[in-house]
Amino acid sequence: MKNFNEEQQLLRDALRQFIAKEITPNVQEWEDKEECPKHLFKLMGEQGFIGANFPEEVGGSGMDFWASVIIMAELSYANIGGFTGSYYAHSFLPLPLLNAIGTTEQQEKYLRPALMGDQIASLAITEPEAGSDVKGIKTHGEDKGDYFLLNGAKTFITNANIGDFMVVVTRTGEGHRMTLLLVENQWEGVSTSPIDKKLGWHTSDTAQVFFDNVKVPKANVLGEAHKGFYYLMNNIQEERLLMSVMATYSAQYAYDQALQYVRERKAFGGTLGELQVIRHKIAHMATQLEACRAMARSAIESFIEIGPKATELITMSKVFTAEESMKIINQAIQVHGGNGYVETYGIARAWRDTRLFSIGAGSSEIMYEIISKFEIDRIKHEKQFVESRKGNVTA
Amino acid sequence: MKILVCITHVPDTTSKIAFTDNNTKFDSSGVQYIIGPYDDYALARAVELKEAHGGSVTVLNVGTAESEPTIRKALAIGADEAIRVNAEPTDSFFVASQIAEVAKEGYDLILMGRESIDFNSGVVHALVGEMLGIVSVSPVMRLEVEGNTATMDREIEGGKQTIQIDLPFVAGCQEPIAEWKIPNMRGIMTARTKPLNVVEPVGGEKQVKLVDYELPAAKGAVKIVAQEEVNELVKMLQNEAKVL
Repeated sequence: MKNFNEEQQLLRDALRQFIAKEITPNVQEWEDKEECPKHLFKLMGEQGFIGANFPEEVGGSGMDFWASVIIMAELSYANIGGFTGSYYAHSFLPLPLLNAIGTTEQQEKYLRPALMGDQIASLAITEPEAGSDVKGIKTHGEDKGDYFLLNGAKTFITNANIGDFMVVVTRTGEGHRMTLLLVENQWEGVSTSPIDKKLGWHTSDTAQVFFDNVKVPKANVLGEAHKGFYYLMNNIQEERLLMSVMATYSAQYAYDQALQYVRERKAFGGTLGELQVIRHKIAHMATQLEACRAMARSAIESFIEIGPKATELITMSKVFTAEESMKIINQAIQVHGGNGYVETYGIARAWRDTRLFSIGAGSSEIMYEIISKFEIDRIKHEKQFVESRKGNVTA
Repeated sequence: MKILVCITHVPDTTSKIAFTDNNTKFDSSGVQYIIGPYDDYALARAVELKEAHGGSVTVLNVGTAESEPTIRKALAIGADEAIRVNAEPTDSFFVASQIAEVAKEGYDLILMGRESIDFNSGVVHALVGEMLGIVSVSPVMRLEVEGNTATMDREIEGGKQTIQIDLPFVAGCQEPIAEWKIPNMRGIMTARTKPLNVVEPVGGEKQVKLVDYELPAAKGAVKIVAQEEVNELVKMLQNEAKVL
């Protein structure tokens, strides 16, 4: 994606070594059991692979955002979409919030052990009747003086069955008045139930979560009360950007597999790669993939430069890579023929795991809605976006 | 305890091997380089010994500036400092001469892989021992150090031999002496700050002249012979493979 410096290359090589040793030999077994390899959080935490770009003061490694990009790219390329999703939902959903707006006490109690992999975290937003429509959230926190009384239900919460704590988006008033509450999974009144039989992400943990008169001390309010919606919207740009990286490198994996297959597979007296229809298919896939990489790189550079204000470019990158990666992987199955339809070759797994990217972290339809607001309604951040887009063209 | 670990900068084991210039040069385009796998075992054990007994680990590489990313990885794994002898590692005698020159400074242990995985001569540890006038042992599968004495298991034909030697000595290492270490973030972030000293080579004439390279013959198609057709198999081994 770019010319990495020495540290970034070392990180990438270390991750590849880690994946080859700890993940690749076991993926099929975990897939078959539909089991999240929880122990990997501890192993990755010990290596410093969680929160690589968090400040050293809170337990991170102090690298820049590219470190997160490298980690997500390498995990995605390892074709273990489920665990990659669990790692992502832990490292890039609740933890950046704790880093940005958590108190020192909250960071010591929750963030530091989460970066070590000793605790697993979730971000609980989606509800049975509110997904993309965050303003429709009903889980309610009633202010009781020194605590909030929490009631409601969440669904599709990654890591909540195996996790230790979650950041719960809670309605504490009308409209956008929402509060982020740090809730421990073992507290009285908190219960979870696994969501099984998913299309993909078989090695991730997904839960329904129920809150029944849970007393959340005011010390566990993350940031300022009633401002949760805005904290979320700020954080979601990083989340979407990294999902764009996941989509791109899942497609890269499938493309590389397809390329190797057409070079080796014999048919009609030669290799598949000698047939024009296949050659053009590969050429088209390569072009789509290069477009994904270019779009993601541009969004990353813009995010590094101006942060969450790079909203439109990040949104474009998220929707583009989510949709295009699915097409690339679909074609990778096609060139594999029957072998693409069975588990042995790995492409089937990549296909079903990638399907989530146009749904999770905001559906493609929501992404297009956001982009249309920038393009047609000329909403705020326009100036920053235009500047960032110009910058990228120049670069 | 001062430990010197000699590492090679070699093509990844999955590299596609090709040659250029009328088969007289290795084609390094697109090749990923790594620490020699046997050297990596030696380095991992050296770091473990340092953590257990204190002291320092110095990595030594005879190579050009292209080796430096590999040397930095060794520093990220846990070595304290590095020395690069600025020369092409042309042959075993030359490389051993450079190592011996550096090792004269005085190290308690001089560890390296039992062989490199490019030229696989497997003689450098013995040459260094001879040049320094100290014992050289290889291939070492286990290494413990207590005070001034080391206990080690050495692989021999059909088994292993346990021996004790006083420090200093040279050891050519192999698995399972230690598990390869994966650099952690702390190591990666500190690798850049650790000293990497470049020194010029001394003497050590080339003993080998490289004529050309040749790839092994391509593997033929696999023929499967049914269990009950042993006579047919024997005929094939005699007449086609000509190995009987």
